Amino acid sequence: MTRGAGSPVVVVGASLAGIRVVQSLRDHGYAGPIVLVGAESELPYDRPPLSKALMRSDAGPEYLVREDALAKLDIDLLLGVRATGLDLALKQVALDNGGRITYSSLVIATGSVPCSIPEWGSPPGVHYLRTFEDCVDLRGELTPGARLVIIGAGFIGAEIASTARGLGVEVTVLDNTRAPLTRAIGPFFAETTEAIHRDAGVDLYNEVSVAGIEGEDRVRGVRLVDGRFMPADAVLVCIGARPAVDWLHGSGLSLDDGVVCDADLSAAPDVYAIGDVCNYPNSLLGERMRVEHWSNAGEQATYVAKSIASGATGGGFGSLPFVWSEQFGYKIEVVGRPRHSDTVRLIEGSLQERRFLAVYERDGREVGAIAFNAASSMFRLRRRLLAELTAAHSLEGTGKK
Amino acid sequence: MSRIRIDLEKCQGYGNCVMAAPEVFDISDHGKVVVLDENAVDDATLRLAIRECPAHALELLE
Repeated sequence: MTRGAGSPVVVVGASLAGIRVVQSLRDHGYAGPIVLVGAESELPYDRPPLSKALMRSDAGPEYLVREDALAKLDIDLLLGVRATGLDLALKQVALDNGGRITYSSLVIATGSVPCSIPEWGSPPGVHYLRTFEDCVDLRGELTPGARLVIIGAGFIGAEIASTARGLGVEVTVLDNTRAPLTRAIGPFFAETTEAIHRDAGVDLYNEVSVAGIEGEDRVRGVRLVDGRFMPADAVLVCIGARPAVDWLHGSGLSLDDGVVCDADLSAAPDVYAIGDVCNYPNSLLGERMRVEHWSNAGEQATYVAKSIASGATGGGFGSLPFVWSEQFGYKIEVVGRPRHSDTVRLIEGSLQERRFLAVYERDGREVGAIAFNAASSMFRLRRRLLAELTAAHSLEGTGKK
Repeated sequence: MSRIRIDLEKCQGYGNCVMAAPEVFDISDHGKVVVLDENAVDDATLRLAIRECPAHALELLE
């Protein structure tokens, strides 16, 4: 008898990826036991609203599954429980409540955690944004006239800046790159992203470095390396996220920018990783990557669920990463994995009107796209790009990692 | 009677549903979802396509 046979499928991480793999397992006919372990005490909820609608209301989380549907899934749900270790030989997950669970298959879906710089200091009034609790803490500070300093002008920073300005908060944004969103979309759109911040009344500082966050009983403000001081009633640190894999150190799994997986999203026999933690070879884009976007969680969850339910693999996971953002009245969508060295070609609209569709080209091929308030056009392009990349991949043959 | 409930206000025309089940969904010229044939795929694929909507504009009535 194979070790672990008859044991449950154990899913560690009860957010989007975790709940989707559970739903997919049932949809694909897996009728055996499932244990879903989540560190947060909330039922699985959606994170994108945390920086948008939930940041400007008193509402509770937007749950991903209704309670009646959750009950039908027939899962053993362990909330407020953290996984602390993994024993591959025994096929056991150790929990912070002292328990150990033996698995037949393990799906690691622990997501990511916000990056922090401990050297900066962390007096009360410094916030991060990942969980619903974080959202509640931060939104309590967003009162008219309050001074919020946001460190990091990526998607989270920009969305909070936008939401906070809408609430009458005085917003300062500090970033060490050329312009907001540069890391994700490249420098071509710098003037546009800067302009939409400044037009909304954000005090924006690009290409600055933070030396520290000052204050003892309460945050007073942020000190830059160049000596300038930005007074603050509250500070949000949103400088990126790192995969939540600390609990896997020493397990024997390869950890390098996430859990290193093969084309079937497997890290070891009967062990899979999905979502923000998963570092895998994307067959469509021909490069290894870790994708922190919402859509990726569900797509990878389905792929792995099918593998577990059917016992057969699907020929390698590949997808065209997709991310959207709502900020300052604009809907921004990015497809693919743009590099700053890519050539940008505008194909519809213009930067001036702040309504456009542009493609990223690399080695003579379209590899991605970006849209500002051009959802219909983006959708058509995305469909075409996916078809082209799929066809190109098929021509190159299977067996390519 | 359709099994798919659509909230057109929530629909943003992202098209994840179409990517997942092009036989079932499409995006109209108005940039909103339309259902072509809800029986064109198996239940698992339909459920997946519905769940993939970032705007949660689709629901399967059961």
